[in-house]
Amino acid sequence: MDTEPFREDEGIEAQPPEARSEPQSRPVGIFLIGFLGVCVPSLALTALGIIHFGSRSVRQPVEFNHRKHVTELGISCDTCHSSYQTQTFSGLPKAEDCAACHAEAQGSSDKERALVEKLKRGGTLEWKRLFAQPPHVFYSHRRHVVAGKIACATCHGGIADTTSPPRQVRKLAMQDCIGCHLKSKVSVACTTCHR
Amino acid sequence: MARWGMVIDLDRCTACQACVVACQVENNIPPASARTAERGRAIAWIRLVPFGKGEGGEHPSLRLIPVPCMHCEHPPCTKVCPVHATQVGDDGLVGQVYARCIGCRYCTTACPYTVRQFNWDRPAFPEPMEAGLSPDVSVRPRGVVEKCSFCHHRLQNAKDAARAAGRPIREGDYLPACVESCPPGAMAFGDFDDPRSTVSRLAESHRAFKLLEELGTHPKVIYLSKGEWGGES
Amino acid sequence: MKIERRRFVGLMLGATSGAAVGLSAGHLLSKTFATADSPYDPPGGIEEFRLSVCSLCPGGCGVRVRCIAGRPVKVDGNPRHPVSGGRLCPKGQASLQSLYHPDRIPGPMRRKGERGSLASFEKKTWEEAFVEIGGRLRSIREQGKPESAVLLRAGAMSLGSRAGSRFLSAFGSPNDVRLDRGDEAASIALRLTQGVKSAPVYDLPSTDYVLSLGSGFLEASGSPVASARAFGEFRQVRTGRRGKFVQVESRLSLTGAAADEWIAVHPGTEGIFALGIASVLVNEDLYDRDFIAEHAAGFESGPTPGSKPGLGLRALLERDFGLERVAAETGVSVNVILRVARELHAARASLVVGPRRGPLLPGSLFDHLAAQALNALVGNIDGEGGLLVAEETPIPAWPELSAKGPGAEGRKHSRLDGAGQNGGKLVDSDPEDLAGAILSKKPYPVEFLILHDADPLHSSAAPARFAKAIEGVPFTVSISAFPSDSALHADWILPEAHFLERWDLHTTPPGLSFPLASVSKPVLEHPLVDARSSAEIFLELAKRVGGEVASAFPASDPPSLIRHDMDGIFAAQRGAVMGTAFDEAWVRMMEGAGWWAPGYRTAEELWKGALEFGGWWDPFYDHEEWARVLRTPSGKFEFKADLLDGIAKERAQKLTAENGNATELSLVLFEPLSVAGGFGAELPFLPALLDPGHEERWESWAEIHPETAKIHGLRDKGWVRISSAGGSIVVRVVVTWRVVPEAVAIPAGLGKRGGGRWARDMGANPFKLLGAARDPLSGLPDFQGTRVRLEKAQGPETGPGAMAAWHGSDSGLSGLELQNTRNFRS
Repeated sequence: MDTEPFREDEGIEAQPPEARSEPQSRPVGIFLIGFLGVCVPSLALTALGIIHFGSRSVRQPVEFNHRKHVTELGISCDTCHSSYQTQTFSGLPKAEDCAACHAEAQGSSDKERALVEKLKRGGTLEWKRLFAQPPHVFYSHRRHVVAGKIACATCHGGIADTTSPPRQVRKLAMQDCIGCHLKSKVSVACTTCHR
Repeated sequence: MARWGMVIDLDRCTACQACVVACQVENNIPPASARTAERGRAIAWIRLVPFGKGEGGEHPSLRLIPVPCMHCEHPPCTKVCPVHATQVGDDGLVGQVYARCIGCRYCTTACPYTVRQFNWDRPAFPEPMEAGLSPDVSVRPRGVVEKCSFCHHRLQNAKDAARAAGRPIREGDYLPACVESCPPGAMAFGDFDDPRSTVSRLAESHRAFKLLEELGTHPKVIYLSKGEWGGES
Repeated sequence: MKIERRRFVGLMLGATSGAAVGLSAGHLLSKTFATADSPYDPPGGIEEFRLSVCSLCPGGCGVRVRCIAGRPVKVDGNPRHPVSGGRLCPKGQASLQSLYHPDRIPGPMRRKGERGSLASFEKKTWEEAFVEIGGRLRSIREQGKPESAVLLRAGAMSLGSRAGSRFLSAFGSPNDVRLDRGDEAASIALRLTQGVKSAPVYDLPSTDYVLSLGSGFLEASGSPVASARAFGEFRQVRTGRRGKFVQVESRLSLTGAAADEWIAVHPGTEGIFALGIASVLVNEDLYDRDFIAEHAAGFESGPTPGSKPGLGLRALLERDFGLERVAAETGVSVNVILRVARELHAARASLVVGPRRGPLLPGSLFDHLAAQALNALVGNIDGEGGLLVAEETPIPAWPELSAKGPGAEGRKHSRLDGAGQNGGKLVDSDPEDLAGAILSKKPYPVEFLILHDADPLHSSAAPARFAKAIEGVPFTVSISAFPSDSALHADWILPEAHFLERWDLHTTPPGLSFPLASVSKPVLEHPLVDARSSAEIFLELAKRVGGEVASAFPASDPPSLIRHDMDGIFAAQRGAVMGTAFDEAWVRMMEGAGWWAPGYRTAEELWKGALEFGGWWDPFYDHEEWARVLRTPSGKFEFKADLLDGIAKERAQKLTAENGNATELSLVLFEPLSVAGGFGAELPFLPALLDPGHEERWESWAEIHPETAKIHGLRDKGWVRISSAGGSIVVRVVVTWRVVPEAVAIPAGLGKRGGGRWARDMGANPFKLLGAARDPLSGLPDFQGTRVRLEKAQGPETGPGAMAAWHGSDSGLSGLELQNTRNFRS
């Protein structure tokens, strides 16, 4: 398990989907006169665009401690994220996955006891995704993990070393993808990721 | 590198249009309305073009030709795009990058097969239809051009599956949604660079022809149509 | 956050104008940083494939459903399923639109106001529904008149359909009436000539020559996918042969468009053309003498064993179907008739397909009998590449109904529609006469009407009469997923669960030879709306009625009922779990040699296999089992020349009179695949597909020959009022050579008042034009003989049809223009 230390300030973002604002209708593309006249302010705005404006905090159904499970107990990622080697989507644990170990309390923490109670009541776990791409970007876990042999931490940073659900682990931008694609000599054609 | 292409046997085609709907579902094309249809703004990446023969003569006939994007080897559309939103990708497929497209529609005009379509309207999936959307393809916003991708996402998935199984991609691993659905099996899909592939074999048939070949577009969709009865392929 | 390019360009403009009107920087910023992207972002999730069976038509295609995080996102064929073979028709492909349809009936609804509008209904719970409906049923039974309950249903080969029939007869009513009768004329023809009660099976893959008498088998057969697959094999080149296909009809259908040759005949003369061919075969001695000598009766005049002496086919053909006469009546040249007859004879195996146009359009019995006669003459009855007889699925009998008690008493009553042999009719169901009986209250009044997946206000031959009749029924329950025209007139609407939400067992659809049982379990754990499967509904109603009705079912819930049936199939000791092509060949070979190699040893193993792979079937077909396929009194194929004779005279007179009458035209109805069987317009992908041969979409049209259009002063894309003795409709004009000058062709399937936002008020319903006339031989409504008048009309001012002016204005170069400007074939 690659447990690269958690770096907060990468200057790039991976933002929970619910923090994105509602889509807006926008003008049909216009190719236009006055290009130069507006060029400068626009570029300024573009620069602003990479600044992160902060996101609402993420409340997960359980205050999950990755460090406890991964680093201390040595549980592998695919125990809970079951399909990152076989599918596009990595998978998030369902209540019964947690119940496999937590049908009875393993430790003495109040939070765990709350979880055990919840599972006994047949409650479900609605995890919020920390990593999501914009709607026009497509990413496959299997492609990167199985074919590309990329370690989880390459993109997910130090999530394995967090002790409670982070607001934001690290930000990702297209530059990160392209950089890695160029380095690994894989396709950087637009349709590889955009469709 | 493979040269993916399609062969459509018009003698087997029953014009049922399963291909049209299979494509629409697979690629998140929003349902049209009577009004959009009337205005010719309904979107279909593959459609049937009627081709009448011998009208008023003794042996009139009607052929309905399914026309997807031809994924030309020399596509006229990519050359006119001012923002490189449409390009020939690594797999020889003519791709469309919606996020780049500015909606100038030069490409729709340049395409001699008229298979490129403009999103005049905001896509709308009345509740709860949104739940049926595929996560493999983006829903195109208003103001961009879209077209058949030969279900490029299926190619990527097929490659991943083959790689995970530690073998090269094989015939049949990758089929666009239209080909998979075709009830009479009139559509074949595969690699034209592989001389043993079904499509390569079919392309050698004397029944084979291409649409508007004389334009030098080198389409990668090949049609088969009959000679006389008792003909072969 | 990023700014994407398109927005960037737009923004540059916005920045200038924004500054000009003094917009606040904050507003601009919020606009800018909104991710201007697709308005939809379908979430990812674990991908799974689950099996089910499509039930949007009676075909029953096995499907494989792709689910993301449990949500179905794509339906494709189940590759192991013998009906779909991994393929799917456009309706099946669009079936998710019926699952996620915004206008599905959300739960049980009780009418509290005027009929005809969903606003008059209020939502109730299932318990409330069962209390009221069950109470009503009980009281009818207690009053000793269970026969006054009527079930009008579609002919699906599903569990719900069987449960409904069972419920009704256990309840004590003989009035189990089917609305869709597409297979009825062909079945009657088979019953008369071969003594077999089922729809004919055409062995298309193995034949070399197909002569179709106006059949729509590629558009809307019993299973469109199975027919299209068979057609693909017929056209295939694996064996170096490529079958020839000739279509005889007065309007070039899409089936005809796939043919090698279209022979245009005068409307309604397909059967006469067939008998002309028969006459050539007999005259030139090109018929199968061995088959006729050994297995046919009624070829020569004189007494036949087991039936009255009568006219033989040979004598009839010689007397009435001479070449010149047939040529004159059909409008086909003598040379063409001779050529087709010789081709039919010369082919190794040839097949004549009867004139079934679609699930609602059975064709005339005369034409079907003519097709049968030709099939017998070329000797293809039960031969390879010929006409086969379906084998039934060995579903075990459900508990026998008690011969005493109110149920048995009720069943003794005559049927309200007078159908069946007791009523002296050839047809098994007669919904139009049922409507008459409801109105006249004779022989007894109807107290309770169940509409199961049936929309007689739209899809019967008498929509207006049904609209009136339904008002005369004290209590009507409609089991329907959509607010269909008829459901909106019912007292209760009980929403049927979607096929992806229910347990089901489908057996062989009409037109396929092999016994089959497709098992499907719910793909979705919970229905998206408060719906239940019809099997569940009937089982629950049976419980509410109680007693012998409740015990008429061998189990009390759908999965146990299916398990019961599958255990019976296990006991039949044949067939196999659906498998690969290799498995199929293996089972065929083994059974051909008299072995049974099932791959399962216990009923439990069969059940598990059926759930895992889609079901059970038996691919083996034993050809020329004469005792099974010829069950007439004579044990032979009977030509029934007497019947043909009587009708031929009547028809000849009618046709002569009609052809002399230039002001009236023959109405030719057809069913486009996408809306066949009266369902499809509801799903918005489908109205765009109606007929790719011309530009009309989302509306009805009338195809009119250029000469006829000229006579009536009609222009292409204008409007025409079409009137008959039955009624009138206004539709768009399509001037085309695809129809002969004596006919006008209109698609059926549109013209609904209900059906949700897309179907509502789209197009017109041509069934309104059918009068009370009947096909003289079968007694079915005369779907093919209606005469109509044309009159130029104004188009509707509002609604989908009102935008004629917009036609093509934005579409750029249309496909047709493309065709005209370029040479397609280099």
